[in-house]
Amino acid sequence: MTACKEWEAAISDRVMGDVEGPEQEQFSRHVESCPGCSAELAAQMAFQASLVLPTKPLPGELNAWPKVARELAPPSRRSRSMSFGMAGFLAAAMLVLGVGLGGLMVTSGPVDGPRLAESTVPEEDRYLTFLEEAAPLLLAVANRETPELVSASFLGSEALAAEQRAAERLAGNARDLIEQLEESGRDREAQLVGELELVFIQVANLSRQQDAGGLRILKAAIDNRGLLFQLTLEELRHLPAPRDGGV
Amino acid sequence: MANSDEQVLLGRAKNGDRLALKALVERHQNDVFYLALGLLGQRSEAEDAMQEVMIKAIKALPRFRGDSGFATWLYRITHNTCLDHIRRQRWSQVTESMDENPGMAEHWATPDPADDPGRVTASAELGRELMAAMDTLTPAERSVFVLRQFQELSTRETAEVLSRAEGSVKNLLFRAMRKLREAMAEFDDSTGHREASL
Ligand SMILES: [Zn+2]
Repeated sequence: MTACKEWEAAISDRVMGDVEGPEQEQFSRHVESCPGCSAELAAQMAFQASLVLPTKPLPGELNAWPKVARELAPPSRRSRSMSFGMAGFLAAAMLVLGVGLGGLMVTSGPVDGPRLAESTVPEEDRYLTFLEEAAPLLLAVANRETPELVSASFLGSEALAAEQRAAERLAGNARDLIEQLEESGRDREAQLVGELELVFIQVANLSRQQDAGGLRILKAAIDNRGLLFQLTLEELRHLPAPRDGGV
Repeated sequence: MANSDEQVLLGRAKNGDRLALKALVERHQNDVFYLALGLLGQRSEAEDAMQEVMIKAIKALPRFRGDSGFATWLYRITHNTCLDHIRRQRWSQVTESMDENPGMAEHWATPDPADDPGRVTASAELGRELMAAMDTLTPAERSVFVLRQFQELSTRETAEVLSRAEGSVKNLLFRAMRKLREAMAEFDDSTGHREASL
């Protein structure tokens, strides 16, 4: 004896305690005269009552964050072997172009971006050093046209390799810096570095995926972050004057 | 699912605030783990999936527009991640290793000293039976069963996570429950552990 096909959903509702509504009223009338539905309902109700599920984890039993944080910010040792790849590099280009489209920066200074005087930045302020190193990297990418970025000669170039090393290092440095900033109550600075860190990491992860989905995610990230980059770059403009030199 | 407190947290997390990201992970890790446990059947795999889900979610956070609740969105990522795991490993391998893997057993009915030890053992066995029986389900049936029973989501929420119609969720749950009941009754018949009354 089996339940009527058309009443299966109603049986399911009833077993899960959803007893309201006109359908349930109709089902109540049906089940009185249908041995198949009646038997199935009784069996499922009994089964539901006897269900033993796994115990839920206790609060504090799990701690996902340390591993998640480690994965998001690979230590510099590990990032040495990180390969950014073409998709990652294109994404980096999109990132900076996205910033440019947002009406930010690249409005003054030499074509290859501002060069900041290392010597005048207080040595102990790793935050300024981080921004100083991040800006030329982003600008160097922004100032290249897409055809150049995807050309074989550029992909094998030393300039690209240097930029990749810089991005890897910055991603690796960000985590300690964020913690340092948070400890000294510089929350906004920590947030800004966190933004840049996530972008560098996203670029790094795209290298493993090499897909359009990843690029879409990054584009969305750019859209969401325009304002923060504007703030970051605004700060950079108050830093000492540009100096000569490449990335 | 989403409340104003969570909205504030999400806003900060989207801006890369690490404390907010950490708080989000800590707030949702148990639910994500428990869902993964139901779908994958093994604690160690569920923990791996939980980490993967959190990393994916943080990376995809800028895409989260709030059309659904954050938990629903997270469950969708969890579900897809677990399906990927299953595709890689196949259901059968998951079950075969379950007997040797102590991870799952830890999660059946935590013994309460006040309880009769014999009762705890019995419920642990029932838990094992259920997990073994769940391998008779199709992936869709299993997903619906776990979301409704483990996560206690409503039909509407389950439909949202799985991108299915509510009617389909109800039918899948009906089939899952019938299959599980029959599989467990068969198991009882063959082992004589329980009265095969269902
Ligand atoms: Zn009927």
